[in-house]
Amino acid sequence: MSYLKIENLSFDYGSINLIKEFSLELAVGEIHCLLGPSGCGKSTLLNLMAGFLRPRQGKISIDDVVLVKDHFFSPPEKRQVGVVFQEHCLFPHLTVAENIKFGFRGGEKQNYLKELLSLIQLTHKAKSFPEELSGGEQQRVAIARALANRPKVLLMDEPFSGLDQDLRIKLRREIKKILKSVNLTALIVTHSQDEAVEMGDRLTVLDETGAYQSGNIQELLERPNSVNVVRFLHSGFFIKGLFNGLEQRALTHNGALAVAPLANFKDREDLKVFIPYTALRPALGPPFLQATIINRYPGKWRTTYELTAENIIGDSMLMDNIQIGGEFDLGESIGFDLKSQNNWIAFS
Amino acid sequence: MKSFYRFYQYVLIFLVIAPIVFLCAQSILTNSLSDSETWRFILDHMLVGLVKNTALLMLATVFLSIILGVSQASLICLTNIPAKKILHILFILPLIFPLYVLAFVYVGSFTYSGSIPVFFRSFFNFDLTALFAIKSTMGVAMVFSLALAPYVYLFLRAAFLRIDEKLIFSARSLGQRPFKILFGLLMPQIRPWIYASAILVALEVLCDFGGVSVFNYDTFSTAIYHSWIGLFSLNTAVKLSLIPGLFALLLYFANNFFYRTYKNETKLSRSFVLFELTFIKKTILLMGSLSYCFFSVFFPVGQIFIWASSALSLELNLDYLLIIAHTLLISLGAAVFIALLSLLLVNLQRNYSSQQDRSITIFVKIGYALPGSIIAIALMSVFSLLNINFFATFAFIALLFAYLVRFFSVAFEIQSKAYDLISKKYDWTSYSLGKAKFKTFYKVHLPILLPTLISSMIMLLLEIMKEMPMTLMLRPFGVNTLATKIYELTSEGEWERASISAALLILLGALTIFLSEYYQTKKNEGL
Amino acid sequence: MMRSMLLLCFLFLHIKATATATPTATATATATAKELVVYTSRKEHLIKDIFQQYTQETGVSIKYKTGSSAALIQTIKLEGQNSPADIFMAVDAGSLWHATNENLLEKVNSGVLKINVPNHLRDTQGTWYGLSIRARTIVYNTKKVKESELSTYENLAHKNWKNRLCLRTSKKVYNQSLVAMLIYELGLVKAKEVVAGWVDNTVEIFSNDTAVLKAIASGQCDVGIVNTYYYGRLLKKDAKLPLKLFWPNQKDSYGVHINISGAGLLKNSKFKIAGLKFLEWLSSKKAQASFAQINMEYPLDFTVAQSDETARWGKFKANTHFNLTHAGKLQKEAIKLMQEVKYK
Repeated sequence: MSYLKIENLSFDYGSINLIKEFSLELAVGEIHCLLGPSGCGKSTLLNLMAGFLRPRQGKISIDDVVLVKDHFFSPPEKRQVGVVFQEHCLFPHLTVAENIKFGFRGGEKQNYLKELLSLIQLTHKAKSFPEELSGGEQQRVAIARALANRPKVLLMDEPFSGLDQDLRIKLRREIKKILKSVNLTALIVTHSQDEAVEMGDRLTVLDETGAYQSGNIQELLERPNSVNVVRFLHSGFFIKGLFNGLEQRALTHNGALAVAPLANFKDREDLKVFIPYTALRPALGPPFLQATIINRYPGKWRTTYELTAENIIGDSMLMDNIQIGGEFDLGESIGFDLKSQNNWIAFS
Repeated sequence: MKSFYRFYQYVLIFLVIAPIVFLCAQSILTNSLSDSETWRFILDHMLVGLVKNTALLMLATVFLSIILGVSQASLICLTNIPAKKILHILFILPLIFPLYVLAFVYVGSFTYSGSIPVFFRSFFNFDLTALFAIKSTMGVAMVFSLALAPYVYLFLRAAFLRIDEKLIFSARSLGQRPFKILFGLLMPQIRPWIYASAILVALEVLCDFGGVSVFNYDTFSTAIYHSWIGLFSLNTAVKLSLIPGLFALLLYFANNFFYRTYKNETKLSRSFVLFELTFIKKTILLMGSLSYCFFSVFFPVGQIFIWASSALSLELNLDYLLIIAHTLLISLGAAVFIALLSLLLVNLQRNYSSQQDRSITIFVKIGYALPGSIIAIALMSVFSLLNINFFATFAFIALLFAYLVRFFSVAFEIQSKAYDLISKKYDWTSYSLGKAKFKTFYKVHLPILLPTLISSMIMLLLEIMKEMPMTLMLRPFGVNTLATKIYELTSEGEWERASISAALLILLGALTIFLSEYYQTKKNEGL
Repeated sequence: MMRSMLLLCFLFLHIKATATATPTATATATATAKELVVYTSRKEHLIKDIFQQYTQETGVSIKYKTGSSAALIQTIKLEGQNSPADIFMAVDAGSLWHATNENLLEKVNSGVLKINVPNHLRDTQGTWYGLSIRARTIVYNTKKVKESELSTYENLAHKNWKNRLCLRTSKKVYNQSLVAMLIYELGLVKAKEVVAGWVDNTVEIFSNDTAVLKAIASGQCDVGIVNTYYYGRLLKKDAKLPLKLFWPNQKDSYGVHINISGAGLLKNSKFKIAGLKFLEWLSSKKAQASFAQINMEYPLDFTVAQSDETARWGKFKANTHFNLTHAGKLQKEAIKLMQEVKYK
């Protein structure tokens, strides 16, 4: 049952074709995170959905109510789509309570204000002005204000950027709780993977070329549909392989690997075979891959290692101590084996 | 709504441009013999001198004003000099002086028979005028820069306040000394503002008529006036005015090229200090500033009040009440009218225009560059063409239109810059909360903009009160403003009698400045 | 906001009052006028009282608009048939000539005016009439100059006066008329020599006569040429100034240059009869006394009692054969001449 439907949305920014036939469907109550590097169009997608921008083509509908289609365009004030920006945009001339009430539709009772204030735990600051609040408090008010309008869908554009790490974590958990408690469908733009993974039921990874992949985190990590997804999620690495059309296998330096029939590869074509980090394990015997540690980054809960190996495409691999099975020193060499897999994903 | 915006924009542009285009066309196409003779005469004998004089004066004034403005802005924004608030007020106070008032104060005081040289002669037996002639180019430039430096100061102060402290901190942490930071890092950053204010000063000099005529300094505006009033060839006057008019247009384009609207309002904190001044340095700079203020504020004010008091018994009568009333009514009415029209355009632009659209608004701003008398005549010509007897029936309307043509850009600039500071995201947020465009304007924009709006109206008020050439020509029967009264008396050399009106004008001007500053600080507190 | 709204309302009410008070264009010329409109370059404080005097005597109120002659002439031209103006008043014959030249003034045939206004002080065709006389004459510093040193306008060009002369700008119509007179009397070549000589001797050029007087009094220069009433005004403020008027060109010469403040009836006036009556009244002995005296000018008829000040300046031979109509006709030449000798 799709609640929010985006179909073949295209948008040009000047002469650049920023959004290319983007489609997405959200179920009611789903929290969906949009992930991607800067400038790839994530915010633009939100703006298109909210009605601040007009697409070149495409259709958007919520709960079977069409918002955009061909020549039909519903203005933002009619869409019941809530927005929370990174800059929170609280009206400086209104108090917290007045800001929240700004979103009230006719007939809303005072009770609802109390509810919202207690939801964001800022009842004691109802009469304060935005400039008197901290960043986190301001963001919470912005969310309450959006909720006050009882939107069908809530859009959030990098809502926690600019806040410190602890606050980010605390806030995103709170917000997720709030969203789930009212069963609100939400689309959240972020460039933080941790955030996306923690908050989102599903994710969409977008890249600069306009290509994207939607799904839950598992799918994205293990079955990426483009090199960029891998790159962005740091989910694995690539090794060179020569495609053998007859056997449907890629011949690599380290052995032959069966290739998933994802695309029609030509015989003797050079391929990049995707090896997710999760598919590696420390070698017991002669290793499939020998990697050397070139950098070591100690962290709070784990140590991150940068390794390099022959025949991998790109500079290095990034894995933590759990994945490589222990703590090592710089310069040490580790052998890896591949966990067996039916087939591997490869790209041209 | 979008089509209404287009329509409104074009109507405004038309209103502003049409009379002028009409007048120009008429002057180029219809030429009496005597007109051609006069034009020839001007071309042969006067044009080169005019260009030279006007250019020299503009350059000198711009140069001096920039130096003054940069120093003042640096002093207030970058040092820990004491009494900043007072100094700030003192630095902008010269705005109350129309150029022609400051001109007659200095000419009256510094000519051979003026109070200052007389003093020097009687006490020190020293001829001051041998050393320094007030009516030289430098003399005029110095007096003009006293009156125009506040514009530069205000621009640059706004520019400095937008600088990110962190930039300066990182430069200091790299070991750079304050002066190097000022010239190497900050000046390039504020260049657009320097250019913008330089252009403004240049335009003011170009268009000034009252001031240069007191100095008897021949610029384009005096030549334009003279061709018409002295040589009775309006035709020639209009042709002549095309030259500075086109040049002014050029300056406008240049201004738009240089000045970019910075959307982020990074605020330099009030307590920020780049130059830590020692007590001695503070004293020296304070004394320096006060000496400057002596010439820019205290001396002119003092002289005006001394002269005014000597003429009180002779000149002051109940008529002055009426003159004050007329001055206030006309200026207030026009200011409100223009501010509202401008607000409508700014708002429509915000909602409906793209970058390309906006460049058209340059044409609405042309009015500021043209000499007031030409605008007045252009309007009269149009009205007479339409066979409207505006003097009897629409007495005030012509003047209102003239002010609109001339001052629209003042309101427009201030308002659009303030408006641009409100991020579009506020609008979007409001839309997403169910409020359409008008409600957004009313509930979000207006409350935030109100202090700036009022401030813009007050600045407009000040400019209109000071305006003289158009008011002189288009005023209804028996109506005098303080500005026209001053002109009437200074053209006869009656400094003392003129000083009464001048005193009243600067009092009103000071009041408007104080009000404007009050609203500015209110706005800063609010946001 | 509220206050400005209120003020706006007040403003519009005031304007409405003003608007309704002006005469409508449909009134016929023969109707009794209750009001006349004067466009005048003669300053307000010099005409208000006499206008009020007329109103008191006749009940006809006078509305006026002040401004520069050129601006007023332009306005009259543009207003055309719709012009509410009846009378055009100016402070120099040159300006009045321009009004005639633009075909704005009505040729008036009035016995009264012909008698009251001497020949040389009115337009040859009767389009304008002088109403008061001012002389443009030499003024000198009594401490630095002996009266015997002065003789004629031309003499001021002599080397003796090097760096001792102060003049008003050539842009002012008073000087243009003066030079026009010189051209008329001396011919173009000689006049040019004279003015060139003046320029050579000039210490500084001022934008108004009062500044010239002040410069002479303070010692910056010794002699100058000014209109008599400026002298009068300055001395009224400070009688101790070492300044005195000198009447040049008295012996065997054309006499002192005089000019007039005058007026004419406008062709498009709707109340010509009333307008003419007003002009005639202004030229009458009764009005003359106030009209001239208030500005320390001379009345049209020298036998009329003068103010104390003007009486003190003494009698002089005025240039009565230079019809001031020529001041206008020769103005262009005068301006050209002054430009050529670089008289600023």
